[in-house]
Amino acid sequence: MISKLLKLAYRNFRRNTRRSIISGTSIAIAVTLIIFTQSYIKGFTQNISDNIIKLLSGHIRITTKEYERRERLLPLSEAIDLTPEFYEVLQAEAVKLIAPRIKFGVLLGKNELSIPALGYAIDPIIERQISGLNKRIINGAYLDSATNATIIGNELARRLNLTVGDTLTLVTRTAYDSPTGINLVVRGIFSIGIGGIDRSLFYIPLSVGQKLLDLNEKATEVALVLKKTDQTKPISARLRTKLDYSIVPFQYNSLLRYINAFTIVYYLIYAIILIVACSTIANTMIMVVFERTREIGMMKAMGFSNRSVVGLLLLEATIIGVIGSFIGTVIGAGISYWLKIKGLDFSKISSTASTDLPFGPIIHFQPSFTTLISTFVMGIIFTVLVAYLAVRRTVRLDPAQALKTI
Amino acid sequence: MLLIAIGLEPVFGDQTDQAIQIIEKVDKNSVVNTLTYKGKFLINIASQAREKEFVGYTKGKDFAYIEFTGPAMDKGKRFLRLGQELWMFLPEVEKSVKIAGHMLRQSIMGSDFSYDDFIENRKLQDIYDIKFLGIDTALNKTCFKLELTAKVPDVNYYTRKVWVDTLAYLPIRAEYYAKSDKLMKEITISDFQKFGNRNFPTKIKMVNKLRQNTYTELTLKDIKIDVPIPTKFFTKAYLERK
Repeated sequence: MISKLLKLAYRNFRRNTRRSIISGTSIAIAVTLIIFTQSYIKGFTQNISDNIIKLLSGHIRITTKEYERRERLLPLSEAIDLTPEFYEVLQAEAVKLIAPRIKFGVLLGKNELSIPALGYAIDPIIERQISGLNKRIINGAYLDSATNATIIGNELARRLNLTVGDTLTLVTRTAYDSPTGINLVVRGIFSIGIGGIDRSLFYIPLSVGQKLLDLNEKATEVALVLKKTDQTKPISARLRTKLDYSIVPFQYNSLLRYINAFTIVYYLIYAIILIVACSTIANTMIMVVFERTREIGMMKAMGFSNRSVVGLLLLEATIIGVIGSFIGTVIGAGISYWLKIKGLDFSKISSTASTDLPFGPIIHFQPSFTTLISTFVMGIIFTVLVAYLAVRRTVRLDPAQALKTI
Repeated sequence: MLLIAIGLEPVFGDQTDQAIQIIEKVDKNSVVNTLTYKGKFLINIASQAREKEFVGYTKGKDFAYIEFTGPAMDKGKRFLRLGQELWMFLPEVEKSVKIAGHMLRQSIMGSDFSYDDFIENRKLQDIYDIKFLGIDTALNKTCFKLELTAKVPDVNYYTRKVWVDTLAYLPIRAEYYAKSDKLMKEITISDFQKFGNRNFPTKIKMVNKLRQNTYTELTLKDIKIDVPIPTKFFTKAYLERK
């Protein structure tokens, strides 16, 4: 019986090929769009997570509680003592890299100190393993550990009219608020592709920063890179029981939390896209019922049950849904996997973004097997559901009345 | 009778005029033609104390020079005031930078004094409307209590409440407020030295209320008033000398 219905449904599907193709195409476009959007959002989120981990906080960022509270003021006096006991606690966990950093604000300028910039005193050897900063050098060389040298963002270098080999004079304040300064040789110029970083950041060796800022054996923050990303939250929780510091996993980054909070909105948008696309299916099925009223009446008169008649029409819709969803999935997967490899260049936008929006410059799409299968299945389910709403009135058709219909 | 006996009778005349007279006497004590001294900041932050020593030269209201002599990490840091300009020389970078804009509100050498406090050189009566509030006690001394309210826009503190010692005519206690009435700083003068008719403050305590658990004591010694000071002290060339 089912095979007969299938044959009949397929025949009906081919009776008005152009209409079936239009309906299938709308489903395909919707499925392609959803796979594209999902892959893009996953890629965007992954890109931001990577940038946060590599350039800002590591998997876990440790600061004093007071530093976190007043972070906008960069209070150097609220620093962490880098004691052997502190390192012991960290090393007891599955931590791959421990990166102490000092973040400090300065005003730079050749004649007048008017360009605000953010300095990071870092351990060059550790940081190259986290951020790959050494690979982002576009001119000159990377930092070494002890010399009075700096690497600066290409946009900051341009604003200060500095090039490799020039001297950058820093005037800032120590942790005890005393004015201090240092002359640094510009050793390299880097380009990350994120405006906020390239425009305002420079890096100096940690030992030089500690001496400059009167923070011997101290750091304002410690970034941890873990062996496994999925251990971030459990390790954070354990460290909180052992250290009286602010211990924040990267997932708590406000931008990431903001994006994740919108997940439900994304799913609503996907549903709306599918419903809009399925309106062509609804239209098609209403037309089918209208055109075939006499035929349906005949089938009912011959003994077809209401369920069989509706089933036949739904099978026709299902064929459209399967073919449309399949084509949409193939096209969506093709585009998304191509953009996963090639990436989408956002450098023009990211070059103007602040450090609070660390996205780009290249966003690689993140399609997954789950995304493809779930979207394919949802395409079919929505098609059948909408088709059912359109054809359910056939149940109420009286065969005798239907046969009289012109 | 008692008030007349302790010299407070004048305040019962025109109170505004009398308040101005009090401030004029305060200005007479603190305004000098030239001044040289050795100074020491004792900066207390939480339980830690840091000492910073310096020498200072002042000429009129437009010229001042300060050079830090200790501790080692601050030795050679110099400040020069030329009119309303303030320059800082850092030996680490061997160059001077102009301190301007919001930087003027930062503290000098981590103390509770700001650069603004340092370069303010106008007479109080030129920039504030003065109101006599009454007789009060501060640091166990009888004082005239005055309220100073800004009459020009570019003042560091919109309102000041000042307790002027009725005998020494020194503002032995003062509170500085922002326009929002937020208390920003508290100052006390706990010691002074007599130079002829002049009482010059030698021990000043400043509490910056915007910081937590800090205060700074400024002690001045080897004070010489109205002695000749070579003009070269107040030049950028001298500030930037090797």
